Amino acid sequence: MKNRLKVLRAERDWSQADLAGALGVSRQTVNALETGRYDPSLPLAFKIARVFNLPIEMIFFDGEPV
Amino acid sequence: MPSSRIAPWRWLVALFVLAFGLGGVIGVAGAMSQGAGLGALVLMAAAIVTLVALGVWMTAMYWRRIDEAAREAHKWAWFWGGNVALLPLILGFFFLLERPDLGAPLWPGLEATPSGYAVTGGLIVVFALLVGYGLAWLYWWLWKSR
Repeated sequence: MKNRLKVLRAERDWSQADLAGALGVSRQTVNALETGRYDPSLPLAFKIARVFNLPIEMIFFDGEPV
Repeated sequence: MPSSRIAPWRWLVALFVLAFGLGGVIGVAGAMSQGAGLGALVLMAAAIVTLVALGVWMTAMYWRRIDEAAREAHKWAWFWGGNVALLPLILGFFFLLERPDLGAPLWPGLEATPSGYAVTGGLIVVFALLVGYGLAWLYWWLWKSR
């Protein structure tokens, strides 16, 4: 699963620690998510979508971004 | 300080301290149990049960405070690290069955009795699982979250 987390975070000028704080996870987890090495659970994916105020499919995708 | 504010790693450190304490209590209990009365044995058993219960509670606190990726690392490490670590033990087990003439290893300090060999087998399994688990856990964190 690929994602646009790093781009979205950079657009908002957030650090990994900022995003981790907003999501209630560790900075290492944010890094694992951004590099695509860890796929989030559905609850965490929904939480990420709420934080960025975007639909999930605008953040996560299995091929080319929507 | 409310328990909800205690960082997960602090729970882990406390758990290690408790584990060493438990090991000490069991060691002392084992050494003193030779000539101990019933009351002393009951007291030792109560201390051990209390420490184990405390350890389970602390483990639960740690588990509740880590995030889902950290939990995934533990699950992944348990499955892969544990299972891979068991493979050489299984091979060694069958090897010893085929070659009973070879001397089975004995844990240092234990006597060559059935219980000594049983404890040796148990300790080898526990240590192999811990090493496999630890290495797999390190690999997960170093690779996934660096």
